[in-house]
Amino acid sequence: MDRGKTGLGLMCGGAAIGVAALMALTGSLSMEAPARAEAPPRTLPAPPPGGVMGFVVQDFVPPVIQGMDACPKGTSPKVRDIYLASLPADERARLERKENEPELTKRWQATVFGADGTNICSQPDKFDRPLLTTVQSAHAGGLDLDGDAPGESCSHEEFTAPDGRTGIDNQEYRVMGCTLEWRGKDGIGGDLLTGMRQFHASGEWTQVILLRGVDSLENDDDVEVIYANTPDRPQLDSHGNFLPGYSFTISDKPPRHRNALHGHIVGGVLVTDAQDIKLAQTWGQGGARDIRGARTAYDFRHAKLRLAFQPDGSLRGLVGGYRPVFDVIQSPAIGGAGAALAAGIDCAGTLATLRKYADGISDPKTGTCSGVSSAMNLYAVPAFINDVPAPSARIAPAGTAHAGNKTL
Amino acid sequence: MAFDISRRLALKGMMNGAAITVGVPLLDIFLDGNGEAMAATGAPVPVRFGTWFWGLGVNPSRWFPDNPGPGYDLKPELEVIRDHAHKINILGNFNVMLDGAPNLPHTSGGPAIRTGRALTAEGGLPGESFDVTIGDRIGTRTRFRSLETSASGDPRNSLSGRGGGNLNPSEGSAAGLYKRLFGTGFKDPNSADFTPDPEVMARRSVLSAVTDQRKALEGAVGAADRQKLDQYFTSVRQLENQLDVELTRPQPLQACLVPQPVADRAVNAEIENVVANHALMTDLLVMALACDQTRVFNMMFNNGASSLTRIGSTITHHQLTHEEALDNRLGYQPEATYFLNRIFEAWTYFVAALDKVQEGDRTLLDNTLVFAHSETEFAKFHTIDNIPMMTAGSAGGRIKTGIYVDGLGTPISRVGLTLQQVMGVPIDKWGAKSMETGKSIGELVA
Amino acid sequence: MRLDTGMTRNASLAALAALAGLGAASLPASAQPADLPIAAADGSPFPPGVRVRKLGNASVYTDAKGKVLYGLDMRTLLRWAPDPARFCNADCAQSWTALAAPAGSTANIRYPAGFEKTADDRFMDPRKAPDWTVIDGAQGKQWVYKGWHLVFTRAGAKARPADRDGADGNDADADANERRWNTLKYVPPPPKPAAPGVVTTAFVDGAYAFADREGRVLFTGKCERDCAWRPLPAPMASSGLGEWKVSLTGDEPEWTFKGKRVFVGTAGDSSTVPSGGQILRP
Repeated sequence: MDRGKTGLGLMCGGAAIGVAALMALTGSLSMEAPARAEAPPRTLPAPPPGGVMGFVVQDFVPPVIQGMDACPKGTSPKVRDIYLASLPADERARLERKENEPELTKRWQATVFGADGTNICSQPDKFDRPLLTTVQSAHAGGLDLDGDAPGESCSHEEFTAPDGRTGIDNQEYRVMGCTLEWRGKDGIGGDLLTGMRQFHASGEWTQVILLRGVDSLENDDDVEVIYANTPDRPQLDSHGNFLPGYSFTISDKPPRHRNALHGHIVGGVLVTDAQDIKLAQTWGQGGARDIRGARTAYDFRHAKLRLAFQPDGSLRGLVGGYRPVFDVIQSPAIGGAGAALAAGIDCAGTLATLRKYADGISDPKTGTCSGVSSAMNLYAVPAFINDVPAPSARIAPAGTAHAGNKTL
Repeated sequence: MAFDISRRLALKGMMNGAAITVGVPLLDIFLDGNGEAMAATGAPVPVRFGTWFWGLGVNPSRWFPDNPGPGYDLKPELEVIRDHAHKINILGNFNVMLDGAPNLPHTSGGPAIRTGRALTAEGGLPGESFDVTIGDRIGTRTRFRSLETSASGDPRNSLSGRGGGNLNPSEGSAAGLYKRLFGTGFKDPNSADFTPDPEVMARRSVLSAVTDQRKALEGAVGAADRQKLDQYFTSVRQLENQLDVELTRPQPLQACLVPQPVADRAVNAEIENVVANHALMTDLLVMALACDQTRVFNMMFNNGASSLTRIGSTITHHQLTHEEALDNRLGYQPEATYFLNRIFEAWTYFVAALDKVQEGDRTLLDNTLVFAHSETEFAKFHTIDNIPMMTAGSAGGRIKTGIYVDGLGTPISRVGLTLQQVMGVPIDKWGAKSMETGKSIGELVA
Repeated sequence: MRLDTGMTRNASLAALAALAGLGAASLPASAQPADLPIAAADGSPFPPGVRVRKLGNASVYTDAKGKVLYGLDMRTLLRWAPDPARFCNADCAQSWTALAAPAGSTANIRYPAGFEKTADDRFMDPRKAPDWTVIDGAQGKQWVYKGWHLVFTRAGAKARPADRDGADGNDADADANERRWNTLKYVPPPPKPAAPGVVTTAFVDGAYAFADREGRVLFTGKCERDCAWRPLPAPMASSGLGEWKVSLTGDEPEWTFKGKRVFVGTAGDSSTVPSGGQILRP
């Protein structure tokens, strides 16, 4: 029994292109929002005797509102396009001719690198790049976060949710929502569900939710919520949907992500008190890139769950919180130059834009914010969840490769 | 069966116009009445095993059939195999279980398929690849235990090895492959004059001396050293076997034609070049199998993170899978898909080349089991569940063909287990941790 | 297979995520760097003056004066320094002193740079490095632990024989950029007993135990009728090694150790050994 499935490699091998990024980013491609915001359900079943309910999370994706209204000028340009845009019109036209493609490639790829062996994805702080195209519409999915983090937020515009809730904080969407990875080529979705679900289906990022002390699905002012990762793989139907009713055990091996939250149910919607939430999100942690001690994670600060019980027994809603800005580009940063060369991602421009729109995790001394508000749509199906006591320290079998010191 | 003149012409065509020397006429007399065994010795016609790898997966909805079982439906990307589909199986919906090991994009999938284990280091293999295990079973009596080839020219492009960091290097040029196969040391099995090479005889006798020392040594050392010695002498014995082969008059083989030398040519990742290089290498490999120079092979069409390009372009196949947006109206990436189409054309060429060579009533393809696979399902996301796989040929009648097998999400190691069992490796369980399995794919075993 | 080793190395990291363990569950800071199993020492000689000391629940390395050694993983520094070995100057050097290599040492390892493809015989691949190597650091030639970890002691006023953070063997607090200096913890090198190839060892409950190739603990005990313990299978033809013999009395051949039956646990820790089972140790 091997718990703690966590690694998630990043680099693409071969051909000189390590695209770490792609999972993170393509993992965030646009799609039809799978977890429509929580329309109040009509009839809800009674909770089970004992008040214990378990769920496994099938969909965990940014709440992109599809269509091109959000990005009237199109998606954010790639590194190649940024280079072309920087040229005089006639030079641009010359380089865009088919026969000059090798020259163009050589020239735009050179913009990825800087002095002393730096590149825009490995050392994004060291580059000054143009900002991304941001979301222009007034609508976004997400939660009102700053109400629960008084004095810790920086000024920013707020969105209105598609269901009419106001005061929505989602600066991550404002910055990333016009990237090709989030929105797709023509403003309609498709990739995201596949990309993200892979991680959740494989036991690498699989999340479970365990509720205890549920007396009513309509109203209950005291519910214990465990939001955690499991190494167990969900069973899938032929469309890739998670089958309900399977058992999952919360990870008992480090790094163990088990968030104990407190929530209350009002009108069939469970909302948890703001608290930091951490969940598995591992990039490139294997082999030479096993960075130990610097394991990436979904690190949501002042985070909340807002989940509506559905008549069919499932849960739909959101998790929201503030993420450190660098976390958003963690995957392409690990990918390094390859992320810029193979996927055209401008990590430095993205980081600069995220910093400009940062609205959370403020430094008490300077008042500067280093985090962006963020949200993920959630859809979870009923499951049996085994909670386990805190793990004991773990020691490697002799001869196991780790610390990158050996290869097997 | 009479010699089929049209096939001979086809073979000429395969050699890109190069003239072919026909050593001896192809005669049924080499085979017994049923065409299943060698007439001279009664030994069964050799059964060969090989792999064919391509990088960057497929567009799943345009590749996997809808209906499991025999007579599967062909989606657009597999339409090209239609004429051979009755000799090809499609394997889908088998999963790679990593048990906490990282999914290293383009790196984890291949080794998991070949070793039944999750890769935990950057390079190499987490265990012995099953083509090597099968080679130990069927490849010890041929001149080459196995042949590794890389059509895109990179010798490091390999998924074959005994585990650890060392991979069996691939031959990257067709000219180099020709020299290895038909240069010094080649004994035409159909040639009348066989004389053992005195140099080989000398080496053989040196090794015999070692054999005597071995016994003395084994008695004298401790347990741990005996383990090491055993490993060492296993490789010595293998060498002895191979030298024995070179000292034995080869069995005449009906389809063995020694091709003309192949000229040196540019080797790079431009798709047209890779396709041409693959065709040349395929033709040579086919003759190496027909002449029983090897019974095991590994062909890498491109590498995992495919560096294939179109002539005149600098944009790689790999780059396209990531950078090119999904065309949501088409449902796939058209530019990246261009390369997939070329890959499956090449696969069809490979299968057809084996199928053109007649061995009695069967073809070389029928006497071979080729296992084709990629390292990812859909490259844009680096997915490693449902990696596309195929088999071609029936291993001398040991497996059924023309079937689409739906693995229903079971471990991908079932494929390796089944292939090894079919090729006579005596195991009932294979793989490690969540990929340990004793459940072979019953619907394939004849 | 991956081909481009250069790219790999470029892949280091960025922000240090905090230690694992969340919300309610706070983990013992047991790790070498954070949350993965501690790698056993490879048995190679320590640098001059370096020794092992028991501190709290952990055994950690110290320098000649007893100051706890800390490691900083170079892969986490790439964001700030394209050559991470050169990271610790200026502010960092105020707080951390590199463990200097002896005068006249030659660097034998370096951080793999971006796209380099050719091996340089003068430098080892960090993935294959022995426990202790020497790198050209920001403060001169300094020691590197297990290929990746720049070795430091606390500098100046903070340097005391029993460091505040290291006193219980725990890691240092993360700095403002979430970079974490980890105490260098010590696990003894594994023994090499005469045992069949399927048997290896694992460090379980403070000492080495026998394990199978997958790291599952081996144990013995009286397996009552109908028990579900899994015996360690053996090849029929083997004549055994040392105290390991093949028993052919059951349905299938199985290994015995000192005449006792051998069973395989389900994982590499003692909690997976069923009650009534005793862990086998070399």
